[in-house]
Amino acid sequence: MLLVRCGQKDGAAFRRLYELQAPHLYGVAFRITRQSALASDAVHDALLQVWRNAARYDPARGNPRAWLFSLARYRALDLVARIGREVPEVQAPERADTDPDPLDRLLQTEAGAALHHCLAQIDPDRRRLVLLAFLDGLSHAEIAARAAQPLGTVKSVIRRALLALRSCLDGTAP
Amino acid sequence: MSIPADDPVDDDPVDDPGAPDLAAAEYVLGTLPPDQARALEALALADPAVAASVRAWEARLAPLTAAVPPVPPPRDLWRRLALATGIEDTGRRRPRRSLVARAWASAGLWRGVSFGSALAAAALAFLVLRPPVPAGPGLVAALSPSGAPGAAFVVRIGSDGSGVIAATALMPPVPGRSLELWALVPDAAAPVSLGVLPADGRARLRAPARAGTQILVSSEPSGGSPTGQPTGPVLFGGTTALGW
Repeated sequence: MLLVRCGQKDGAAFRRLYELQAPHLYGVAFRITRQSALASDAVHDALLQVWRNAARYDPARGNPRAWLFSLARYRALDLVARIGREVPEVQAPERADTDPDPLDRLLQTEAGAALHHCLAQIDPDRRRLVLLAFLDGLSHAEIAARAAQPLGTVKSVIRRALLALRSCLDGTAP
Repeated sequence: MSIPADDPVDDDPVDDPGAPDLAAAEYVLGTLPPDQARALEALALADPAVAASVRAWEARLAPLTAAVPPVPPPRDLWRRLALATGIEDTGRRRPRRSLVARAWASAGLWRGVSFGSALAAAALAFLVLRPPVPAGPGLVAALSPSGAPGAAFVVRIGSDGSGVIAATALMPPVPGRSLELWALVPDAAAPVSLGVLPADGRARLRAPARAGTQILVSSEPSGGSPTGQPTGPVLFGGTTALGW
């Protein structure tokens, strides 16, 4: 496993990890930060953490992908909280136009398919709030403004959606 | 958008402080306010149950990152990491890169595209372009690297839509990558490909003869974007203006 080899300070393994995951990590970080420099910093810092801490990573803990992407997301969220999000001068054309349902990308993995199934159980308007938080890194207040909903409603709806997801994913009926 | 108000928020079980797992969920989701997030991190260090709760939520939600299409990171990212980790750059040896090439490497995706003045572009166009001259009256655009002054390319488009593009300096080719030219007319949802640029950065083209059209150059897999839309970072951009 690449992470184990990274823990042994194997430069070629780290390079391979970079080639495999950097575009995905960068896509996720850019979606949150909307700035190339910040997205780069987030991926840089996340991968550096992997290099430094992979030796302590316990494979039995499972899910290296969740660890890796969480590192990049936390860093991106942190950078946006501290530095702010720049509105791009040139708007990217909406990828959604050519991508009928970006959530369909989840179906490529087993864990993704389970999450897809459970997200599908949630009312689309509520699900959208969760996606704005997770994928776009928006705060409660930003989501409330975007969705034109009261802040309290947004908080409550997101929490309920999270609980519903937990029930569904953990296989216990709500 | 409307959200059904099925039950009142007041007796909402999710506001129950006895639901510590919810704080972990919001931490992973990213909606926990920063001060509470730092508090939860401290708690997770001290309490294995909290740490396990955070990890479980990471595992539940991480597959959602697959919904975001991959984007090639800037080319200097690996070099920064190789430097920070002390790994020798095992990648291909590259020639020393020019200022333009470095600006290009640090250029952002769809942002910071700065627009050279049409006047300067017009002057440059006459300096670097050779006949055939597109039908006039026409448009000019100077394509600048993100965040840097100066034109890396100049574009002239005649009233009949025939045009030419020329690089103002030679750029080192990037193995496995091609530069692709795009036109984004005002109010259009998506840019239209004008084709892949040859290595010398000079080409004839056909483009919308409309002032205000953005002309963009993106880095794509060799031979051009596989999707018909830009997939790599936009390295240069400019807007057409009546120029001559």
